[in-house]
Amino acid sequence: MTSRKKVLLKVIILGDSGVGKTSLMNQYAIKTFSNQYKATIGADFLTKEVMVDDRVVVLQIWDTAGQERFQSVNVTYYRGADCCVLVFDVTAPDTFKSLDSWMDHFLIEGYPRHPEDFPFVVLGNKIDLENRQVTTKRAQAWCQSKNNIPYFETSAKDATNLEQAFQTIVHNALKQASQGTDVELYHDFPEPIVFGENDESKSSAKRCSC
Amino acid sequence: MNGSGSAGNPSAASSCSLPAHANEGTLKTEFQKKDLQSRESGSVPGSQKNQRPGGTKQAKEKTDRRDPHTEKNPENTPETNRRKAEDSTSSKDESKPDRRQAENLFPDQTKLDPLSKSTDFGLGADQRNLGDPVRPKHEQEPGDSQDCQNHKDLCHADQKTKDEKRNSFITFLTAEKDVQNKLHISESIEEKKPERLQHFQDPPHLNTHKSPPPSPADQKRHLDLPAKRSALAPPAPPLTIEAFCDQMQPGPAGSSSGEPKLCGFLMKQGGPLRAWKQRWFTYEEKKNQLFYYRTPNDVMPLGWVELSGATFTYPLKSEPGTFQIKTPERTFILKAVTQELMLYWLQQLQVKRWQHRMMSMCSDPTNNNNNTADDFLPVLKSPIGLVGEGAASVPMTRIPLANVSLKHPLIEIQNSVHCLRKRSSQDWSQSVFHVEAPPRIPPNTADTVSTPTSPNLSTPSGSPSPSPPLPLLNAADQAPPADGRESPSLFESCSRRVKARSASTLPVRRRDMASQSSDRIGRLQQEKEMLMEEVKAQKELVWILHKALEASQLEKRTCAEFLAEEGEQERLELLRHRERQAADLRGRLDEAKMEVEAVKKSLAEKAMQVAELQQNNTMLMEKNTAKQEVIIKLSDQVTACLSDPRRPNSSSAGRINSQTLKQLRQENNNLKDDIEAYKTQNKFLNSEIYQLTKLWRKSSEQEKTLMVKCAFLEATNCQVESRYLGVLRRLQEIKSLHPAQREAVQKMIEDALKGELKSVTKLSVDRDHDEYGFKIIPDYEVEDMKLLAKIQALEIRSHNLLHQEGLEHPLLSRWAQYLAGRSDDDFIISPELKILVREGVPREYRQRVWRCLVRARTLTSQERHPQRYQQLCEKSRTAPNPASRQIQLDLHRTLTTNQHFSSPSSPALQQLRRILLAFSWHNPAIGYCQGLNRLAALALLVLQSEEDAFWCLVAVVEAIMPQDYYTKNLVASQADQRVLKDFMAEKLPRLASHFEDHNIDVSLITFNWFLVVFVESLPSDILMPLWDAFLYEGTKVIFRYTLALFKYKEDDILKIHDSVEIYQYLRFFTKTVSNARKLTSIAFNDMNPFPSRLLKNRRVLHLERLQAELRELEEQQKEFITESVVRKDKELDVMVSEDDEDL
Repeated sequence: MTSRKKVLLKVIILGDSGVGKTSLMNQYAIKTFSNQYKATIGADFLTKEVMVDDRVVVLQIWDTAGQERFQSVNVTYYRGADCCVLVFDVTAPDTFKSLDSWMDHFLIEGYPRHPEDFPFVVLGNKIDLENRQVTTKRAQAWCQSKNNIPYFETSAKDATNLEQAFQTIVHNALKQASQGTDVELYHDFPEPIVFGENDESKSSAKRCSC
Repeated sequence: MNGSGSAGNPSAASSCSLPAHANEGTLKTEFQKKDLQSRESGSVPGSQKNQRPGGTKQAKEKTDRRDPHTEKNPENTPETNRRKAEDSTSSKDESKPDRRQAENLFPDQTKLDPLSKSTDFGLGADQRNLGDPVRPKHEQEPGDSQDCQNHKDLCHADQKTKDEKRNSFITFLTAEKDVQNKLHISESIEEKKPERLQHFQDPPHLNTHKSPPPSPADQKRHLDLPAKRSALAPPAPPLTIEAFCDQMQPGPAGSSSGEPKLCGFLMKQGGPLRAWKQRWFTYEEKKNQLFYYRTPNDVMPLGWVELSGATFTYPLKSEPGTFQIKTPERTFILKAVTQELMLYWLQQLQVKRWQHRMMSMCSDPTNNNNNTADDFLPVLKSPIGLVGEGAASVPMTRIPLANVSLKHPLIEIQNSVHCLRKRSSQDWSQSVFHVEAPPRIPPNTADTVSTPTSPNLSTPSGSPSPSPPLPLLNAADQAPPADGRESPSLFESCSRRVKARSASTLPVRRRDMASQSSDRIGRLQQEKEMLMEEVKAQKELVWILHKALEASQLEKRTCAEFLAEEGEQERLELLRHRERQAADLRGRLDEAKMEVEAVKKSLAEKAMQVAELQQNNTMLMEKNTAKQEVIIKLSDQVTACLSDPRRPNSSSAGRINSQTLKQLRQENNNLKDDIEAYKTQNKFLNSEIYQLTKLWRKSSEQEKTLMVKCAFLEATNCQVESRYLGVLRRLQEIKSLHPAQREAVQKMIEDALKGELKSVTKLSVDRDHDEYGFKIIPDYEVEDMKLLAKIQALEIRSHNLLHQEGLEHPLLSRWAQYLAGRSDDDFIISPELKILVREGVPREYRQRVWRCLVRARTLTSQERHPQRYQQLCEKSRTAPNPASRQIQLDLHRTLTTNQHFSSPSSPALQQLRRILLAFSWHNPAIGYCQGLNRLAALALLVLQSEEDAFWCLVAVVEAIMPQDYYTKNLVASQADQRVLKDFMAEKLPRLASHFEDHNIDVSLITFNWFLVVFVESLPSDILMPLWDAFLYEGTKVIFRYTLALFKYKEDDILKIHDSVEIYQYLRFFTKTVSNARKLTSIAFNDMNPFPSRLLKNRRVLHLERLQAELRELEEQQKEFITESVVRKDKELDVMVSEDDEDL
């Protein structure tokens, strides 16, 4: 195993309060789920090391507060983000509607270098619940409208699709990071990222057609 | 003096009391023979001695294994003592002259007075008390009888006993140094008679005569001990051993210690009938138990009382002497014979309980000399004869079944079996005695005989030879029998009297050797008197003979007259004359007889009259005394009446009064008695309470020290474990490790983590959560931090354990002092209160202090709207609130690790909801901001009241925090982060530059600390004092603590040089702060100076800047939105086109 320099990727999770940002982060990073996560005030983060083609990638996932008035505070966390994950609750249409607002806010305040190309990933969370209100189609349509943002339907509780979603996130974040200063990284990175066959077959249905 | 010829035939005299003395002649010859043998062997002391000690030793071993009761069994005393006597006689040749002398001193006593047997016992007892501390432990055993087979004439046994009896005296005297001693002891002989019982308890030496070869070491002991022991030896009395047993109540085993053993008879109430039964109680020191037996010589106790947990008391109303011992299991009701005895028992039990307690606690006897009775009751002396071993001899009422324990049939049977066994052993001992005794006799007889003494020894009387120094006495003593002459009865009686006198004067003479001559003179005088008496008798005899001579002469004269008459007639005449004379004389005689009769009659009458008169006299006397008594009584009454002027003086009234007075007096006396009894009881109970308190205090102290010790050990353990984990962690980080080593380390880490943190917390199950429901050891959910987390948890735990009690007591008392005379509205800002609050409010006062502080901050608003909270609650029930969705969402995400909030059905959640809704109505500008839920929840936990918590929230948000801290955009909060950065650069420059180097934005971590005032960011033991100070001093406290936290871990943070790792560390490091005191000290001391003005100015500055930035941002946003609208149109076009392509 080559010991190359670690790549640090900063991922920020945005979305309304209670859509499951903290749960998603915890489920992905430390594989735990709890009904009793405390409401995030300000922000919280977890790190996870992932291997991408013999490369150690340190993923720093920032979980933010969902209440609207915290948006201005979140600006602090936006800086240096390599990928933005937008989360909504499939059982709560309002949370889907506010995705626009979150996205705009991020683009304004986060000063991404290339706002058009900045990688977003949309996660429709809580698909394990029964009273689903936001259809896949609607969500996919919105993602398509936003420059073909990858969309995954997940369950933080069951960890459904979580791995796939974050693989995409890592992939896109790496791409984003390599577009920046780290040219070396760019060259080393193989393209395109190959997902496992199973993953593809599973996720293809729910991923937007890109 | 019946003159039964005891002097002439002493053996006859003694045989009536000592049947054993039969044929001494035979015996003596045997003694001589033996003596010769022993002399021939040339080792007189050795030959006998050599045989003894082995036996003694063996016997000792035997007895050591047996119950002490049997050891004490007195059944065989006479024999044993006899053996000892023999022993010493044989071994002590050098003391022969003395012995001979002694022998001479006592013979008469032995023979004349059967009681002298018991004097021997008394002597023995006395001797034992004087010196020999070693109790003889010899005992008969079955094997002995076989040895006895070798020995000869069984019939000699009886003779021997007598002989030994004498010898025992001799040996005692010879063994005990000098004549003076002997004299003294012989004096005591007379006094010791009543103590024979004591002597009977003297343990037996049954098989001492058994003679395996002794070890040389034992020989000396043997020389010493048995010699002394022989002094105890009573002559074998004619009593059978069974008779002994019947006479005696052998005492229980004595304690080896000097103090008297606590034992005695008590009545115990028990059984289904609640009847009183006499029991023998004895205290067992080692176990601290009071055993009770049916009789003192029982082996198996009927039961026991565990004293260590017992309390003592005695009821007043019941029979005197009743007392109770209460153990956790049951209550024993006991009764002593007297009240004093009961008190003695109680005190002794207290003492024993205390002593045992002290012994078991610290095994330091110096602590034990505690006066247990203290000031309450005077320590009672043990009532003689009622307590202690001696009490065993107190004859108990022997009703065969009265005291049989119904509850313990088994023990009863065991005891009785034991008793039977003892009996059988007694029988044995007797048989052994009979068979084995003879061979022991010869040496001792030989000794006696071999010493050439007076020829009297050879007389069949067997009376001891007179000693040379006292020839006179001996002459007086021995002459008559020695002469063997048949003396006149008078003379005989005289000699006997002399002898008796000489015997009685013996002690006097012996008392002082110097006065011997005067004694001798006295004796001579006595002799002279006797001779005078004899002369007198002789004179009487002479007189009688004179009379007889006269009569015979008269007769002779008449005969001569008669013969002188010649004729028949004359002779007849003479005869007639004589006849007449005779008749006349007869008549006169009759007359005289009648006269005598009459006189006798009149005498009897007179006597009767006298008796009558005497009777009358006594009657009159009685009457007189009665009258006198009446007079005395009356005069008493009169004086009483006079002394009591209230009483009317009239005689009739006086009489009535006197009667009532008497009654009253009686009553008064009764009451006084009662009072006295109550006083005593009260004193006793006081002492009992005092005692128990002392015991309790001791125990609790002990418990406390043990707890501290335990905590310390646990803490050390935690530290060691954390250090171990730290080492593992270091090892894990070393990159150059060999893969195998790395694997091993990994395995060890896994093993260490397997126990999980629960193992740390498990040690204090009851303290999983603190008094506010917070987990004491915070959760560390991060997987990769588990090792570190565990290390931290262990450190926190060890710290907590070590500082559990700490300095809280002085603080508590200071707070108590401060709050004592203060009303709740009287919380004036003062330096004193500031210092107190900074040190933290004790939990006991926190609720009150917080309420006061909150009230002080919201006073105006509360006074303006007295029912504010209720109204707001009403409003939130009726009207929909825009914030309610977010509130509802956050309710279940508040203080999730807290006991009171973790359950979805917890009532605290509904209270919280009402508070937050009320607040959102109260302050519509803020409405609800995430974070307020935590503030309100903490307030609710501490204040325990919805309304108080609501006002607390109001106080924090509106009074303490700067404006716009929770409003839209949280501008003031953000401004504070910048202020903090300024302070960091100022107070912690190294850390600030370190953060700058690694591109760390501290506000990412600290933002929520400020917003929620550390709720759920710090462990509760730090959070609570922080809030105390925060409520009193305001936001400056947050800055102080924030800086202090970084300062506390500054070195750790400076070591990390990776931004991700720094962030990771900062994420949880607040939960690893274990030393709250240190943190507080840093916050309030090291961060000084911290001027409020500076903070204020910086806030204003940064707020202005921030607001400007925000305005800029807003403009940008507007710009962007307009831009994005345009872009959206474009995008839409693109999307459509792409879709088209796809399609």
